Amino acid sequence: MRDIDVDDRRVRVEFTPTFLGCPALDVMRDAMADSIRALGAEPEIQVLLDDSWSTDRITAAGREKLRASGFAPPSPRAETGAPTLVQLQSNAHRCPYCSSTETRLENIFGPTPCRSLRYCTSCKQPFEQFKTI
Amino acid sequence: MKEQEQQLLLEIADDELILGWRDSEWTGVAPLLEEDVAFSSIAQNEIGHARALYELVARARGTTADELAFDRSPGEYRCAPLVELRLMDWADTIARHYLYEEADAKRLEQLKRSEDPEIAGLAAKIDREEAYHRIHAQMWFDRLEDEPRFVEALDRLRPQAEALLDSAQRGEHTTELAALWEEMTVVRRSQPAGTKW
Repeated sequence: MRDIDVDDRRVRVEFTPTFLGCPALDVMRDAMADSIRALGAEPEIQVLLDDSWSTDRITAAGREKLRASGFAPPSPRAETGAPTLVQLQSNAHRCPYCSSTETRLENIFGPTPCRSLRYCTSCKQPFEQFKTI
Repeated sequence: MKEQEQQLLLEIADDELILGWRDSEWTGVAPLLEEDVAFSSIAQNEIGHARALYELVARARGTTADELAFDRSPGEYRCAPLVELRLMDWADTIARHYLYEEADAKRLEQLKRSEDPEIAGLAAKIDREEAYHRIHAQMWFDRLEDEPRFVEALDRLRPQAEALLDSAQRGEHTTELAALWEEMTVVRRSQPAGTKW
């Protein structure tokens, strides 16, 4: 959420997507609009199309919720710029199930724009890794 | 937003929409399951980029992203011939992928310096997402760079990739675009204009 502005019976919401192609954008927007209408107000929901959000903003609590759901939380943004294949292939990525760093990259891409596919060679489970963005 | 800027954003949006279509054609038929996933995800990102670019132009024109994406005739699209080609050969598709990402990176760098903060902001966001596409393209380039079919495909497609960056070379379409547009819009056109889906 970037901003919420309440003005009499109008509620204006601005939010940022992880990735622009996020397939859940309309679902989230409609759910917010429904909630606002249920409270008796008129919604105006806008998706921000800028570069203002980063996975670095996810709080420690948010990261732990991701991990508990079986998603490896994202690595911090590199100070040196865009992610590289070497970084994605490194064993700095911890398994969300058993915490081992003996994991490997299976696919840069995954079932949604925000996740990569990894495999833990220690507990032998595949898992999804949040992309750094 | 100035008319010239709108035209440029439409060029890029049309490129991303049509290339997203072509990339999505690999879903289920790529030589590796992981490439089924990769090209599907790349396509999803590209269509997301198109949507965002159309949205910016739509706000300036008082229309909607869907109307810009689907309600023009094939001749009115501003996409480059390179993205219209149906390339169901792996060497060809990876060559196009590599060359497109290379050219796209250059134009995004320019757009990030736009005086219009909306354009600069969206370009920065798109560029950050494209980093993952570039990693993928470079990975395959490294894997195929000694393969004669791949080298030949790069040579054959490179002039069209260079044309991507020159607005003056747009306007002509391949014979493939009309068939693509038919299929892309057949469901939308099955209902009267203005229908709420």
